[in-house]
Amino acid sequence: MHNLCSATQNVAAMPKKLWQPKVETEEHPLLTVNGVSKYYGDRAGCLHVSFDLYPGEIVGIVGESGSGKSTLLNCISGRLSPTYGSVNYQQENGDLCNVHEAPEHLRRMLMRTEWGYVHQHPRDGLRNNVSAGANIGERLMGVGMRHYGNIRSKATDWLERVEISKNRMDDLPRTFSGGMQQRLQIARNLVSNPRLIFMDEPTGGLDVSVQARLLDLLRELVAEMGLAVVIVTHDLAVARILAHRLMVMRGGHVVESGLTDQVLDDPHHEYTQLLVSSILQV
Amino acid sequence: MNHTINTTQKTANATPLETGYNFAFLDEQTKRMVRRATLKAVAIPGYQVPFASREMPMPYGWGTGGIQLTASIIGQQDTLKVTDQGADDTTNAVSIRSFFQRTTGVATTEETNKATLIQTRHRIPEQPLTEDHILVYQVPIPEPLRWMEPRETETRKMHAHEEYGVMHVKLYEDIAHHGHIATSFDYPVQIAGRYIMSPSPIPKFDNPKMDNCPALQIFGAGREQRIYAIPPYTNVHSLDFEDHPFSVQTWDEVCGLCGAEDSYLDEIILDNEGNRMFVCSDSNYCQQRLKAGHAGAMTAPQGQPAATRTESNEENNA
Amino acid sequence: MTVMIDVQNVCKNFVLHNQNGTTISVFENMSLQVHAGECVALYGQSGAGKSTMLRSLYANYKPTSGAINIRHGEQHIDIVSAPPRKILEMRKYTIGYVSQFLRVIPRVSALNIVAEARKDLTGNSDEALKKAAVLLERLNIPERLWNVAPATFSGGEQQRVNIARGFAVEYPILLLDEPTASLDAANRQIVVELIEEAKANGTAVVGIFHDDEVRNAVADRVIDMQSMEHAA
Repeated sequence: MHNLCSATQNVAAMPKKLWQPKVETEEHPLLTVNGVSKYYGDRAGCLHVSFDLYPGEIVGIVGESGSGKSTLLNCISGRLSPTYGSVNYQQENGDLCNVHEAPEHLRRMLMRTEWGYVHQHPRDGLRNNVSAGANIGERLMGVGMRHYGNIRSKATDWLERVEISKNRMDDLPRTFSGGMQQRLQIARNLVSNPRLIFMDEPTGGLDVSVQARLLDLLRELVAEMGLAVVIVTHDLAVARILAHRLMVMRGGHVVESGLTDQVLDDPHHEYTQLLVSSILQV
Repeated sequence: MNHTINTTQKTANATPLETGYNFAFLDEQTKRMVRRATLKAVAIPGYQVPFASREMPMPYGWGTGGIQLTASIIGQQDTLKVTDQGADDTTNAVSIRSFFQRTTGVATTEETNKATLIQTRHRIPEQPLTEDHILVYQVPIPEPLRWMEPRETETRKMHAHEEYGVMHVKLYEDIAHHGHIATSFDYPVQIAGRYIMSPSPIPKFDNPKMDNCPALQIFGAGREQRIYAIPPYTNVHSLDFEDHPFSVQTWDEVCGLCGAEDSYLDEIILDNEGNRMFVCSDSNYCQQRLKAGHAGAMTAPQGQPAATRTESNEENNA
Repeated sequence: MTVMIDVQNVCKNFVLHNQNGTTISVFENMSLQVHAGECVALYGQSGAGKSTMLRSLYANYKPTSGAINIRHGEQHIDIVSAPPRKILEMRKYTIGYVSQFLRVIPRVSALNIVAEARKDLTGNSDEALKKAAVLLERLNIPERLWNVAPATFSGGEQQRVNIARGFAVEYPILLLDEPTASLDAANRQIVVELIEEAKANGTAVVGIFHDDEVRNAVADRVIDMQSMEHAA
């Protein structure tokens, strides 16, 4: 359903006036999360979580603080080892990679090429002692790009795409506003054309107006690049705008999951109903 | 610059051998430990081997890593040269040479071609090294990734997995801020296509000398407790960009004393008027050229020492 | 004619856990078939479940039991039990929905809101924008507003943007939730024309029209939700 090229061909060839769906070829999930549980001693961080993530799909994990959403994100992104369960990732070359059993070099390589991770605090995701341009260029150099001019022009493109003036390219990230730093972090992640992005409260520390701009930018980039995204947020409005489907977490369990608008407009679980009814109406 | 003409001297005559110390100060077990680490370093070119660095009778930063390496490999038949920034007569070089004279009694020299073991701080001799040389470097900070990544656990993984993108990030920053790669010493190199290594704070001018060098080069960091090595005839590549290739320093001037055009030059301020001269940083190389009859613009005429002329200039100005 | 929507014995209850588990039964054993090229109007007083039915057809609400089979290409798929990915695919190709209120996204212009679904479908941005412009013009949205985010638009303007959005893709199934509620007579007439054109193209339309005039103009059948419930 994300192969727009063939959809276009269908359109051109189709004599009927109404749209016909493209015949879906059986797609494989990009990420298969199977029975993931994480215990901190006796206390459970997350329990029995399973889901599939398909290419181009955006899954939101919502819930209050302490519900286990960050633990889950860390487990599936390979930053934390789950106590039980497995996470499998289908690499670009078609190989299946068991994220936690794969050799470390492979996991680290995936993390800086096919994956991205956007932290809530840009400081955690940026290299703060080098310029904005170098931050964007790092992944390119990491995969062996050795032409300064090309690295620089790619960095320029990406600054423009995240709406940062290119004359700020040689400035340190700390001279940027919070919103700019977050956009820089996104550019730094997306420059390697990843397939899967993990985001932890990407709009968390930002002003509402800055949030809106970032959300819109994310929405565009994600759609344009056909990225699969796992996004953790406690903000249901963010989830509604970005996510295709939601998992609602409470006490380490996924208590409800499904299509985003279905979960938010017709919540079935007690906790989801509470969460949805707690939103302040402006 | 008043080097002794008789450069090879049997130290037993000049400096008395200390009693009560093992040969070369360190005990034999320590020397074996250092040699084992050194062998491992030679086996994995450019890889930093941890070793149990000992307290030496001088402060860290004075070359304790290099001294432990020298002490563990020096033998009775060796001829030792110690040089600091290319000069054999500066405090650091003199005291380390004296240390080994007193604890080993081996022959010392200032002449590169007569030495078998050369301990150096911040320079590689101008005279090409041979298979008969071992060059020991004193290293302050062995980890080239340290400036980009402060965590040792992380830099070790980066080496293990060959994740060297950040090294180019550093060079990128140079070009972005200065228009060219401004790193001029301790310029990072990649050894045998694998490990990225700090060549210690030698000028990048010396980097090409490391490549395919017939001599064994070993590096010791005392405080950081690391030994690493470049075996003879190993490929040493200075990192760069396709459109900003590696290049060494050049000077418009030549050596004021010996007229050398091919050596690394130090700038010396002569007086308060801002007059200056450039001389070879490698004092022995300069001497050899003077002996061979080369002369520069400021060579004292009729065998008069250059220093005298400098003094008289100052008097005239005063 | 081809059956596009086949609702079979659908029940919908809301259980309000935070209000002592009160259960509200909206409808029970509702069945309904809608054919291609036909317009069915859902009728009944407030609370009869018109909107709930329409939202269930779009899988925005999840029925408690029963099946809603939707003709999706050559297949018939039960949208009640379909996985989210399938539902999104059905929404992309097959089912269009015009809600009562426009959900505005910050910074996205009216023109882009209208063009978005078509752009996603065809991958042809220019063509989608042209189509969007034609619709906005037809619905009398002044051109100076096209590149403005509709957050500041009047209710009627927002609703017309919403309608343009629903008609930008020629969906085989179109669901309309009070599309003419805040429109003047002239614009209502244009919506009627749009619906007629869609029907002529073979689109199955299900709508809630509070305006008798519009309902009479477009509906081929009227389903009285109240009587459905009593019948059940």
